[in-house]
Amino acid sequence: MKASFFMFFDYLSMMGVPVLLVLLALDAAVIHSGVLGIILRVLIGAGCLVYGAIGIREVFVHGRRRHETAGQ
Amino acid sequence: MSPLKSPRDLRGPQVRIGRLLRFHREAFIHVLAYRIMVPLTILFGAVVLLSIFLPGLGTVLKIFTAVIWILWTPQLFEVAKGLSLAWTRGMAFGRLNEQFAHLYRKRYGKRTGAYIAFPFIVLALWAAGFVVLLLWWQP
Repeated sequence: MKASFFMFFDYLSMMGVPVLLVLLALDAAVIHSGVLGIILRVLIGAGCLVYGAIGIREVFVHGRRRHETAGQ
Repeated sequence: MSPLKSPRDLRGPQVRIGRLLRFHREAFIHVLAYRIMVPLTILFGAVVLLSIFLPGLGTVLKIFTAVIWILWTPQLFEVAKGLSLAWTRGMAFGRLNEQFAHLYRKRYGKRTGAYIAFPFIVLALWAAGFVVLLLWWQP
């Protein structure tokens, strides 16, 4: 898979969602801010939807092609 | 003029992940967790967004978060490992031959200890976050 628009969001959500989840845990344990918790949940939800959608494309659409070379 | 032959990947389609098990168990775990996670992540995203408006989803959200957290572990570890590999030009977690590695060390003088530790530090923080979330998070 070439570096692409999709790949940017794939990597962004792959690394971003875990960071947001850890921040959510920190918020729950230390900060206790309701607004921050909701903002984090919105970002996590959006990130997961993007990650899942790109994953479906990558694994179940792109990965199923039989006549594909690694460079394509 | 004969038409060009279409290129064929002799490794077979990427859906056959079982073949990884024979020579790269870590990669197999990573890919298997990813396959399971992909559809679940979409559901999880929807549940997280819905839970903002429906407070009754709290317990479901907590259990779902724990499952996604566990499934995300191999992805995070591999990403951290990949970053270490890239930052050290393949000296950490790479398979450079001895001569090549020696020349690299001479040229760049880079110690790899911290970079080798990096994925494990990330993993430790991730595990700590999991415990904290289970104990203190009340969605």
